[in-house]
Parts: sequence; structure tokens; C-alpha cells
Amino acid sequence: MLFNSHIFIFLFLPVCLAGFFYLGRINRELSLFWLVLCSLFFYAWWNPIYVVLIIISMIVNYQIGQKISQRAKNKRKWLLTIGVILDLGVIAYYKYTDFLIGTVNTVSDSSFHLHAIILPLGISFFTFQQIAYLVDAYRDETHEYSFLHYALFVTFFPQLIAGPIVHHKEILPQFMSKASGRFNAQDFSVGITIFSIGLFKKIILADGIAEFSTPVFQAAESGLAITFLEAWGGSLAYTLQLYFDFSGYSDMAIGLARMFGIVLPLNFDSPYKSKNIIEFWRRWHMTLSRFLRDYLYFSLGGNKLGQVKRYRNLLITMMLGGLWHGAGWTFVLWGFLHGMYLVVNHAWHKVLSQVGWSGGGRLTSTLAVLLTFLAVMVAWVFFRAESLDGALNIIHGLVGLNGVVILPEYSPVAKQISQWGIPVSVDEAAERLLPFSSVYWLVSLLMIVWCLPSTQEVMRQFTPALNFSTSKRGGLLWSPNHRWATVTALLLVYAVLHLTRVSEFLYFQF
Amino acid sequence: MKESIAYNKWLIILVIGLLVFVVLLNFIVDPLDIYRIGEKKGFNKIKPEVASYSRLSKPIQTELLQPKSIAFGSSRVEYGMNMSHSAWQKPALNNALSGTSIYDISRLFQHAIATAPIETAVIGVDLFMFNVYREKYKTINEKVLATSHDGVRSPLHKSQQLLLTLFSKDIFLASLTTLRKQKQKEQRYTKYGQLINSRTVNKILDKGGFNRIFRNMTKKLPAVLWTECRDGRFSYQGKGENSLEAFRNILTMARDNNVQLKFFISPTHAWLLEAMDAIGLWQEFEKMKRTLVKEVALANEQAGKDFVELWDFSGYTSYTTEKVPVVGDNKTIMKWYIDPSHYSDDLGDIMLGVMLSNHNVSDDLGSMLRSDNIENHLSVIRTLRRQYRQVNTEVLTLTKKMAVDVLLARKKSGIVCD
Repeated sequence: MLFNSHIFIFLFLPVCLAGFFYLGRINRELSLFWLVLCSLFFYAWWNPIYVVLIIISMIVNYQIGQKISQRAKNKRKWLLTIGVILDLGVIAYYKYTDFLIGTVNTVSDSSFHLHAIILPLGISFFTFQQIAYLVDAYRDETHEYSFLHYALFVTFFPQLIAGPIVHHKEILPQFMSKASGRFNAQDFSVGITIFSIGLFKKIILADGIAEFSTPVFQAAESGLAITFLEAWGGSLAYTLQLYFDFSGYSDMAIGLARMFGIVLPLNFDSPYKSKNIIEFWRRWHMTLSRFLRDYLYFSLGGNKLGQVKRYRNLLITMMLGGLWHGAGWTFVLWGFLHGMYLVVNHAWHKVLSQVGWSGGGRLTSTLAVLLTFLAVMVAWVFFRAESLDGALNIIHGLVGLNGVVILPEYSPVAKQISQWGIPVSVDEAAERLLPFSSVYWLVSLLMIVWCLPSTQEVMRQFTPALNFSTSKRGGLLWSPNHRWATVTALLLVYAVLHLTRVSEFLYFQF
Repeated sequence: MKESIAYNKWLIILVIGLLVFVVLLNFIVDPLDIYRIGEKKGFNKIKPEVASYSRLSKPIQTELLQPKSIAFGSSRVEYGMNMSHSAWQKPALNNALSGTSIYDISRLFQHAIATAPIETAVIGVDLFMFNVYREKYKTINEKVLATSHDGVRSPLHKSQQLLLTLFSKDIFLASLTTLRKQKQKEQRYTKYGQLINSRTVNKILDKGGFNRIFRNMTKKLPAVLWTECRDGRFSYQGKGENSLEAFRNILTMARDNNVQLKFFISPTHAWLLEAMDAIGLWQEFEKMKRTLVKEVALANEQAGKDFVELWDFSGYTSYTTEKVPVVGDNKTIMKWYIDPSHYSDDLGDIMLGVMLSNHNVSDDLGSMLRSDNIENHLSVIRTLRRQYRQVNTEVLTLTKKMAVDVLLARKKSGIVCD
């Protein structure tokens, strides 16, 4: 079931909320049980058979977690190792079997049979969340003695299929609080507002701009030489599509959880406002970055083993992060690119600290934001493309190797550009993949990205997410009044009336 | 907390109020002409927006009108098949869709026999419908159809239809447009799904006349109609699709449900036949005719009865070679054509008389194709083509130039087909 579907919004959510608060008045455990049932139903809607997988995965991890907590510290490591291997084994089987077979076939020119295994929805998320739980139990940072509570921690539907990846210690205490299961009008108003904003971002903005990115990437895969303007338009459109898709999804997850009185951790914090790649990864998919840092990068030694090993660790972490996003070499390449960006960024910071430079003015900041945005955009090309050839086709276009083609009505501009030594041709086919109207979309969305505050900044007086802090003063500030209710209602209704155009979240495939 | 309670109440009232308003407006104005609870002159009688949503409205109209006779095909059938013709068993519905594919037709046919008492189906087929590499091969939102591709009943298809036609911003805008445009000239369809010929003809005259539309379409159609492959190939199979399989499915469904089937190949104007030849697809066109003849003969043989016929109106006849008015003439109206691709319903009426009422067919109109006459039929068309060319050199010059441009552009920017 998708958040952006009629059945979710008008049937599942109201029934789930009503049952939760009704049972909460009788008995808290009963309301939690109801929530687990609803979450499993939500998951089963996609493919009932995989509910068995998630239940087995929960039982095994819960048992191992229990055993870890009961054992003395020096006798835990092998249990943790078994748990992590089992979790990684499941994800490896479902996600990477065909990728490995395909790679072997390519390298050795063999033809081993591909199994066409269907990837269970959200497996990457609920597996990582459970690995984090095992490690936290090993470190004595958390323990759980009720399977019902553990099941709720794993399956709570707002975060089940595309994050945020939460820690047990972040969520369970909230469900155990006195207020849990009791309807809170303020939580509901904050939650429904954040959800409505997220739905609008996804349905109107992300799906709207997708109409401009998809044809370019499809054409690139089919071998069509992508020209300069097409490549820039398509890449920018995808960069914005992914932004609003993930931002919208994260808002919806946070908003939904808040309706139940649960505050989820922040997962997305205006990442395209970052001034460098290090900052970008502190703002984009924040709970995944936290997971990779705490459980992979630090385990590899982090930055404690010298500069060279630090860079190696960064590269390994980012490449595995890339592979987590998808079983394909383009994802590994995307991870490698970001790893290299981070290496360069850290090295650059070192140089700056050695020369004693402590930052520039507004112009420097603007240029830094632009440069970071461009680096991220180029990397997204590899992320989106289905093959290396498709990605390189677009990269060729971006640097002008496939020529510049513009519409006949702009031929004076073509003459001007030709004078600078850049070959430009004039052809009506300039609009074959991207209509001129895409410019309005691109400019408008870039303005939203760079000039408007984030959802959390607007909602900052009402604790919109865990780990969120801002120094922002003034500007748009939400409060529960008629004006904001009207704005929210309009956003929600407008988005709901757009639902008839079916779309899926990009992050569901990971 | 009080503020939050007031906020929640106001928000919920507004959301429900706005949604109810939109749903009611869409239901009452009925811009797609699918609920038909009432029409009022000057309010919602004229339905200018049906054309934009025909892929949604026509399957729903099938369920509403319960036709016994039905026509499928592309916009050629949409213009050319007059459902008021006496030869049809009534009610009769024109279910054709512009630019459709044989796959779409097979799904619409499947939907029609699952939801209506269909006895006769007339299907206009054209070469482009069989090309699986066309960008728009599958164009219908299949969620509104009564059965899945495998023939399994879709229990939720009605609710999908309601959602798409009532809970929709696009349909809301269509309702507003309907309220705004209530002049007779805005009506594009008849109540039975046919595109109104005279409206288009008037537009053509306003925009410079028939010669202009003939030239424009002969130049532009080949690039978008027949193949988008860089190597110019035409494929019945690829991308996991098989268009002949879709054609066979239609035959099987008709046989199993006792539906009389009449396929016909459209009488496009000779200019477009010349264009097809110029870009190298004439042999492909003949091959399609031979293949369909074989499939039809096999189906009749297997069924032990002649439940399916295949007609070809696509030759060089006195209809298809109708003289095109000269450049600048924006007054003369052609009798048999709206443009080189679309024949008028006057010609459609003659074809219907032949196919449905057993009127005598003259060689000058077309033939019913069978295994024993196909080669002779094709040979006659080739002879007539030679004669046509001897006196229409201007058309040849036009199509040759068009072909050079199309083939060059396709080599440069066509898609790479597997």
C-alpha cells in the first residue's frame, strides 16, 4: 500500500488511527498489538507471502537480541556475528543474487541462470534497523523483553518500507510513555499538516518534474545522442525529482507517526543548501548516513588510523552505501563518486586549516552551494541511469560532446554562441525530449529548494522531528489557526485530486 | 490544545467539503458523458472535453450503453464509422481511439464482451497498429477495464472508474471547461462515440483548406506513424510484446463468445499510400495483409464456421484517389476525405453497407480478402498504383522529399530497436 493512494488515506489510516486510540483507552498493550496488526496488513497489501519473511526475520533477531542481552559481555560477540551474518545473508539472497550471477556471466562469458527473485519491499530498511538493534544490544545501549514491542519497533508502518532507519531506544520509550495510545489534538494537527505538505511535494512537485526527466534518461538508454540542453534539463529534472520524492516521503512518514503521537528522527534537512559534500551527507538520508557512520565506517576504523586509511574507509563505506541503494554497478559507481567527493572535501579542509583560512563571505558560500549541487547532480546521473553507457551518454551531453541544438526561434542566440567557438545547430527537434516549458518547472523548483524554509523549519515550534534544531528566526511559522488549516486543506485536497495519476516512490526500490 | 482542536475541525470540514463539491460537480456536469443523469442546454449539454479523455470514457460508455454492435480502430474509425447507419444492430457504439494499437483493441474488445451483449464487432486495422516499437503501444489505463489481460474479472474496476472520473483534478477542470464552452461548435463527439466530421472539416477550411492539410499530414505522419526504429525496421514482436498474438486473442475471444467479426483495412488516401511506399514500407504493408489473411482463414477453419471476415479498402480506387483541391482553395470540401489519413463517414457508410448489409461490392471499392484471392488482389493494386503515378507526378515529388527527410532524421535520432 502506498501512502499516496486513496485506499491508504481514506480507509487504512482512519481505521488504524481510530482503532489505536479506541483500544488505547482500554489498554495500551492492546493498542500496540492493533498497531502491529495494521502494520503487517499494510505490508501484506503489496505481497502477502513476504509477511512470513518479515515475521521470521523479527523472531530470529529478537531471540538473538535477547540472548545477547542475557550473556556476559565477553560471550556476546559470536551471537552478534551470527545475527549480522544471518541478516546480511537474507538481504544478499534477495537483493544481490542476480547481480552476482549477472556479473559472473559478464566477466567469465558464462550463462548461469538468473533467478528473477522479487525484492521484498523495504527489506534494506528493516534489515538495517534490526542490525542496529543487535549492535546496540551488544553495546548494552538497549534491550527489549517483549516481542510485541520489538515487532512494533520493526514494523511501525510509517517507517517500515522506506525509513527513517530508527533506533530502538528512540522509538520504544515513546510508545511506553503514559500518553501513548491517547489521542492528542496537537500531535494530530502537527502530523496531518506535515503529511499534507509531504503528499503535495510528492504528487505535485516530484511527479510533475518526473515528466521531464524520464524521457531523457530513457532516450539515453536507447542510444540516442543526448544534446547539451537535453542533458542539463534531464539531469536537473531528475535531481529535483529525487529531492522532492524523498523529501515528500520523509515528511509523510514523520507526519503519519506524529498522528500516533510518535516523533521520528529527522531524515532530510534541505540537503541542496549544503556548502560541501560532507554537509550534504549530514542532510540527505540522515538516518542512513548515521547507520553507515556508526556501524560501518567506525567499524572499519573511521579516522583513527591515519589519513590514508580514513580515505580508504570513506571510499569503502560510500561504495557499500551505493550497493545498498541498488544491486548494480552504476550504484557502486555512484557511491565511489561520493566517496571521492568526500576524500577531496576532507583533504581540502585540511589544506584550508593548514593555511589558516576560516571561510569566506556570501559569494563564496553561494559558489560553494552551487558547486556542491553540481557535483551531486552529476553523481545522480549514474544513480538514475540503467547502464553505464546510458550514464556516459548523458555525461557526454552535459559537457557538450553531443552538440548544442536550439529551437529556430532562438537562432540569433545560436549565432552569438557560435561566435564563441561553440558549435550550435538550429533544429525543431530541439524539443524532441524536453519541451521549453520545463524551464519554468526547473526554475520554480530550484527557487523552492534554495529559497523556501524546510517543513521542519516552518513547524519548528512543535518539535517536528527528533534531532532537529535550527537557528532560523522569522519567516514562515506554522501555528494551529484557521489560516494554516485552510492552506493545509488546500494542499491536501489538491494532492488527493492528483492521486488518480498513479506513481510510486523512488526509494521503495532500494 | 483548544487551538489544535479548532484547527483539526476546520481542516477536516474543509477537506470533506471541498472533496464533496468536486465529486458532485464532476457527477452533475458529467464532462466525459458517462453518467448521463441529466443534460441542460447552456449548462452541460455540450461536452467539449470528451475528446481529451476518450480512453477513459469509451470503456465506461460501453458498460453504460450495452451495445450489440461495436466498432474499434484508430481515429480513422472514429471519424468514418457512423453508428446511426441502418446496417448496425442497435444500440451501436464507436469505441475507436486515436493512435491506438492492436493490443489496446484486444483489451477493449475483451472488456466489451465481458460487460455488454456484443453480437457484431467491426474493427479497422492499419499497419501502424502492429508495430510494437511505437512509443504508444499500450495506451489505456487497464484498471478501468472489467477483466485483466488473462481474462480474470477485476472486482475493483468500477471503483477505479469512479475514482478516476469523480476524484480527479483533471476531470474537475474538464467540468469547468464544460460549463464555460456550451456553443454547439464545441461538441466533438456524437452520443455514440463518433467524431463529428463537419466540425473538423470547418476547421480545415479555416486553416487554409484541404490541400494544406494533405501536404502537412503527408509530410508529418510517416515520421510518427509507422516506425520509430533507427534502422527503419517494422516489428510485430519485441519489448516483450507480440502484436500478432493480440490479433489472435481477438479472434479467439470472438469465436468463444459468438461474436461476428469484420476486420477491414482502412481506405487511406493515395497520397498516404505513396508516402508509405516512399519510406520503404510497402512490402511490409503487403506482408501484413497476407499474414492477416492466413490468421483469419485458420480461425474460421478451427471454428468450423465463417465468423470472421477481412476486408481491404486500401487500394487505388476512385475513392482513395479523389482529387485534392489546389493550393489556396479554402472553399472546396472533399467528399470522401477529411485529410489523407481519415476518410469521411460518407465513405464509411458505403463500406458499412458492403460489410454489414451485403450490398454488392464493386472492385473499385475493395475486396473481401481470402487465401485464394490475396495475391491477385495485391497485384491489381500494384498495377493501379503505376497508373496513378503516371498522372500524379507532383505527389511523387512530395513524398520522395518527405522520405529523404524522415529517413535521415530517423537515422540520426530514432530509437535503437533490439
